[in-house]
Amino acid sequence: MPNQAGKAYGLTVLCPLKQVDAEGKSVSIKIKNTLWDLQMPEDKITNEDSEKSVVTVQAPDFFFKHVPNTYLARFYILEDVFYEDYPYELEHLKSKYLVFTSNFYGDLEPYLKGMFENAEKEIKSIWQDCYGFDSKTINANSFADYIKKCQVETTFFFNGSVEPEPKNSPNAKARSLQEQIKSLYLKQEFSRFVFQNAHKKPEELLDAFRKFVQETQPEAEFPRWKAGGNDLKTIVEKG
Amino acid sequence: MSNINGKAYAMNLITPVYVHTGWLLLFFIPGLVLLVKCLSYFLGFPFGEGLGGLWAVLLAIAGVGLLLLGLARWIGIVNWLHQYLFWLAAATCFYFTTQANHQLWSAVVIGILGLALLIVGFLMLRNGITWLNRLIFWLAGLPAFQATSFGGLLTLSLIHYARWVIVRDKDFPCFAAEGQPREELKYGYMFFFSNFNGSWTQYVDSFSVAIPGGLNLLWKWNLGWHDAKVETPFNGYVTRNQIDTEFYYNSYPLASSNDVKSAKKVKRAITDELMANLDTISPEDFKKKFDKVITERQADLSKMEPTPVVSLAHEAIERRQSIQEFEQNELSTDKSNS
Repeated sequence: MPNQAGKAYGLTVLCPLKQVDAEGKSVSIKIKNTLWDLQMPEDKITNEDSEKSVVTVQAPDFFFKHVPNTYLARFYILEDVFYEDYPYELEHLKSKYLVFTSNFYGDLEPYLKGMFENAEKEIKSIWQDCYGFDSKTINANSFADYIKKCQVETTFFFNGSVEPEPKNSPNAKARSLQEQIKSLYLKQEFSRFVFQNAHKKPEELLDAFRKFVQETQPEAEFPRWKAGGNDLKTIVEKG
Repeated sequence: MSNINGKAYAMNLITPVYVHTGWLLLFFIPGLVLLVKCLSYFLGFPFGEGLGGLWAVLLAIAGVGLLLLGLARWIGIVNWLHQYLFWLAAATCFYFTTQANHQLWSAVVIGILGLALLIVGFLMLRNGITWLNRLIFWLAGLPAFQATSFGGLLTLSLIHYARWVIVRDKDFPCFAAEGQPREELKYGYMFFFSNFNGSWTQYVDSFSVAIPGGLNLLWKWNLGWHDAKVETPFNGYVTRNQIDTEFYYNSYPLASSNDVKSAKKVKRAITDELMANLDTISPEDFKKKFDKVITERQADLSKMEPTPVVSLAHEAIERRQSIQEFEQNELSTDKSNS
């Protein structure tokens, strides 16, 4: 399966867009604005009584953090194809396309259903003006069917996040996102531990490491990093 | 536009690969006639009577050239102007072959035209062989070829995931029942998606320097491609064919591809080595084991921090925050003064 590298799946979807929406507005511009709004949370006015309102802004937020097993995902609008200059011929697409790609862990069907169940509102706001997508009747199953209709097969998928392993090694596979963010949490905490404790006497070192294991629970699911977390102060998820 | 999220950069390239419509017969028929005439001479059939050995060889060259051009036109990489010029050349060749008095000057004309057709046909065809492109990707994906074909990518070690998708017009999803027009494209298109660490310039330059051979292998058959070794035209090609990402999610924006791989090794070192016999081990033995582990894993130990620009959206927020802070300070200063 060229769409997969081990258990990592490379989903590529081209969703044809209507030219204009029900109000006669450009769909491609509307989707671009929607995508921008989805990663830029609305400003919240926190002090309306002051002479000049103070606006508190938040860090960018991504609804994909709620979609299980997503490593990386992106959207862009394919307005037209490129012209490579003379002597090649100039040609145009008849429709614009919403290009959606996702690198995730696991199989396609459960991933798409999980995506719909965890981001129904956002999915409807993004896809509502695409051909073949009916936001009134769509559900997890029909969303999965719709995406599969718009899927194009990957010709070659390269997974650079997996360390090459000896042949037939049981570790030679992609890891789930949960495993990855747990490992990243441990790497961060253990690096800090080494910097703080490497010089200590054996007794103190062993005590400190036992405490470290108790706090970080290396073999448990939690604590770990939050998916999509970009602030070190709030990145740890206790579970 | 949101190409960056944390340490990851999203690149999208779309490059034309080949065409699949055209006037095959314009070049195929005269090419086949020439080849048949030439074969007839060698086989002693009546159609080849009167040809000399030189003539037969020249006709064979012209015939193969016309067949290649026919194929090139069929997959659509010959434009209209080229088509008329080549058709003129093909007609000239064809005319001379029908003449009974095969003179030397006409042999020279057909020889030059035939060779030109052969060379141009080959060069044009080279740009349009999509099946070869697909074959290269298929071979590159085989375990036996992984190390040699993508060893450079692994060495660069800055890519999380990358993929190539070749799409023809019939592959574009179509909901004709809802009134969506069906795509009719002469060229196929190769979509390239990459998730890598660092800036655009670092990525493109390191590819050009480290694995130009691999890039040439994968893009050589795309229209407009020059050479990955020469940076300026290579950068120009990437810039011309790139589309900005509107929304880019990264589940670990603080981590590079190497951090992800290192984290796996560190976790294994903790759980499999340092945690073994943790309740009963003596402090001295643990110290020895600990020193051994951190010596072996020193390249994997580092603290991850946000990059200066987490994302363009985040950068915009920070800029706005600093303006607001400035305005608040100004406001409070004005109040205190009054």
